[in-house]
Amino acid sequence: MAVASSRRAHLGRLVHPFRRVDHPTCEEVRHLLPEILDGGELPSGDLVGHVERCLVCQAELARYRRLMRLLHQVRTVEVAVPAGIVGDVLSSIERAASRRAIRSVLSGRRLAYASAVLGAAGAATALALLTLGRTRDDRSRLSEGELSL
Amino acid sequence: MTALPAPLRQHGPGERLRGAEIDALAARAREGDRDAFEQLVVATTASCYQLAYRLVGNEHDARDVVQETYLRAYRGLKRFRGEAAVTTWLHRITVNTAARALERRSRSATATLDDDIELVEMRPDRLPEPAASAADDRSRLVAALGELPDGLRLVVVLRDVYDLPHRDIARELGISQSAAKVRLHRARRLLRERIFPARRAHAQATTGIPADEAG
Repeated sequence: MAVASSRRAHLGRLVHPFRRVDHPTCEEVRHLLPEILDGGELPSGDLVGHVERCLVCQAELARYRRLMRLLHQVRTVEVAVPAGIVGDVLSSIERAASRRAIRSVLSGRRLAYASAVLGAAGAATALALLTLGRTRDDRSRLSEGELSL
Repeated sequence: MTALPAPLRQHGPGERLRGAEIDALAARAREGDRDAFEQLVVATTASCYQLAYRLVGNEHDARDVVQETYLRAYRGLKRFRGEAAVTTWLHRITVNTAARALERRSRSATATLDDDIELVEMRPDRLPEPAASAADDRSRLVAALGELPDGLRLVVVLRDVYDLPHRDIARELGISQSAAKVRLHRARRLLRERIFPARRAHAQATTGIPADEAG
C-alpha cells in the first residue's frame, strides 16, 4: 500500500497542470509526456492511473526522463574552443575601434568646417548690414544738406 | 536587464577569473581601459563560444556569433550599468546574436526549414543497442541537437541545457511563451525519437503488441 501511494506521488509530479485528459490512450500519453516533464504539479488521476497500469507508457516516461538527464549533462560535454578565437575577437575590436576613431576625427573636422562656414557667413552678414547702414546714413545726410541749401 | 539564472552565469573551463574579478575588469573597461577589456575577452570567450556553439550547432557560425557578441559588447559597454554580472550580460548578447544569426541563416537557406522535420538516421547500422553507454547517448544527443531545426534547438538548449525559464526564453527570442513551449515539446519529441529510436520496436518485439495499440 505504502509502495503504491509513493509511486502515485512520484507519477503525480509529472502531470500537466492545465490539461485534463479523461481515459487517455497511449498515444495521448506519449504526446503529453514532453509537456508533463516541464514540471506540472496537479495530478490528473486518469493519466497517472494509465501510466501506473501501462508498461509501454512507463517505458516511454523512463526514456523521456533519461533524455532530460542527458540534456542536463550536455553542459558537461566539452566543446573545444577553436585556437585563435580570442585573437580574432581582439582584432575585430581593434578594427572597430580604429574605424570609430577615424569617424570621430572626421566628425570633429566636419564640425570645425561647419563652424568656420557659419562664422564666415555670420561675419559677412554683419559686414553687409554695417555697410548698408552707413550707406543709408550718408544718403540721409546728403538729402538733408540739399534741403538746407 | 533580464537576470539570467545561475547556470548561465557560470564560467567556462577557460575562465580562471572569478565573477567579481571579471566584473571589476568590466568596470575598468567601461572607464576606457583597453587592457581591461582585452582581459575581459580572454576570460569570457570560452563560455560565450560554448553557449554560441550549442545554440547555432557549428563552429563557423559560433565563431561569427562570438565576434559579433564582443563587438556589440564593446560598443554597448558604456551603457552597461553593472546591474547584473557582466557574464550574464555577455551571455544575453550571445543568445540574442545567435538568434539573429539563425534567423538570417534560415532566410538565406534555399530549402525551407520545417519544424515537423523528422531526423533520419543516416547510418542505421549504428542505431543504439539497448545497453548503450551514457557517454554514447550523450554523444548521440549532441549530434542530434546539431541536426535539429534552428528554432527548436535554440529553445531546447536554453531550457533543458541552460535551465532558462520560459519567460526569459520568449523574451530573448522575441516569441510568445506558448510558442516557446510548443517548440520545446517538438524538440523533445524529435530528440527522444532520435536518441531511443529502436526502443519502441524493441518493446513491440518483446510484448508482441504495437506500442500505439497497447493503450
